[in-house]
Amino acid sequence: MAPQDDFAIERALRAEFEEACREAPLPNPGAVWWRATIRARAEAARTAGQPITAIQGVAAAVTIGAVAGLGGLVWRSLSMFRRFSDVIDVVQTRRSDIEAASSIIASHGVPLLLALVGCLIVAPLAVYLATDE
Amino acid sequence: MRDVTTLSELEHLGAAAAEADEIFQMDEDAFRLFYDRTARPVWAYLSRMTGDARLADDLLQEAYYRFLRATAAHDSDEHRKNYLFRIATNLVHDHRRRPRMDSVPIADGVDHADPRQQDGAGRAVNRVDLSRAMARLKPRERSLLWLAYAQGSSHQEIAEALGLSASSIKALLFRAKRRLATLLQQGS
Repeated sequence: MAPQDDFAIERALRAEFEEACREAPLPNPGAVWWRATIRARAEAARTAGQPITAIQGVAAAVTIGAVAGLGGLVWRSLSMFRRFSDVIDVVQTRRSDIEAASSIIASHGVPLLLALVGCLIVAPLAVYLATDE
Repeated sequence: MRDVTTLSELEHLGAAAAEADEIFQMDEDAFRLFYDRTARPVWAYLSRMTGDARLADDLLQEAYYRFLRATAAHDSDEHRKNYLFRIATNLVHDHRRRPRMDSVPIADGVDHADPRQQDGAGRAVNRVDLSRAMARLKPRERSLLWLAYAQGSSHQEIAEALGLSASSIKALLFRAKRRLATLLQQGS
């Protein structure tokens, strides 16, 4: 590369720099400072509110799970009432079988299981949505 | 009642100012001095690296905001300036990953060749040719040439601004300048 090319490039770049500095439409430093202040305060407020939002999300998930479990209990109760007359007959004839089945259901805790499943599915989703920016 | 309102507003502004001094790494007075010293070169750098004056306005505000929020310690004002250019460089590179459809090129197609740019051999580089050639360089080459020859930064300052080792700047600059010269010759 010839020295005169070198020199021409450097001069052209320097001239471009001076032109850019002349045309620069700079905002007032006070305006830059205050915009930065407002933005920093808004970000601080958003960060401070995130833990509260997460707790609210978890609480909502637990509530939904509990309602789902309660709904299962109510549904089973209603079904049982409808078939009450049949159940009485069945109980009369198969009392020992009914006793065994009841103990299994009680030990497994189906309504509690429904509530737990609801929490496990909904809680992570709620936390994710609450903390997602 | 009006006086009470004004006093309340002043108190609120004062509280906000005190709060800003705690959030940012420098107070407002120091920032004003720093801004006056650096804003023009930073805007020039952003506008020529992106080729978009309006984008440079946005990136300028963003660069100073990130600078104020940074917690890095600085040994001197020069170190602060280099750090600011480092932020500006990163912003330019981040912008390149997001294509912008409404860019307005800096060079307007009119030959603004300055006779004073002509050397003894009568060879000149006009703004349009320079703008087109610079646009065809890689981003790092563009930054190197601008900081070195347009702005007159030292190799150490360039290394800090671009996150490179000082020992590599000389070779990188030489290659970038050679490439620019080739592009200018192809353009002419």
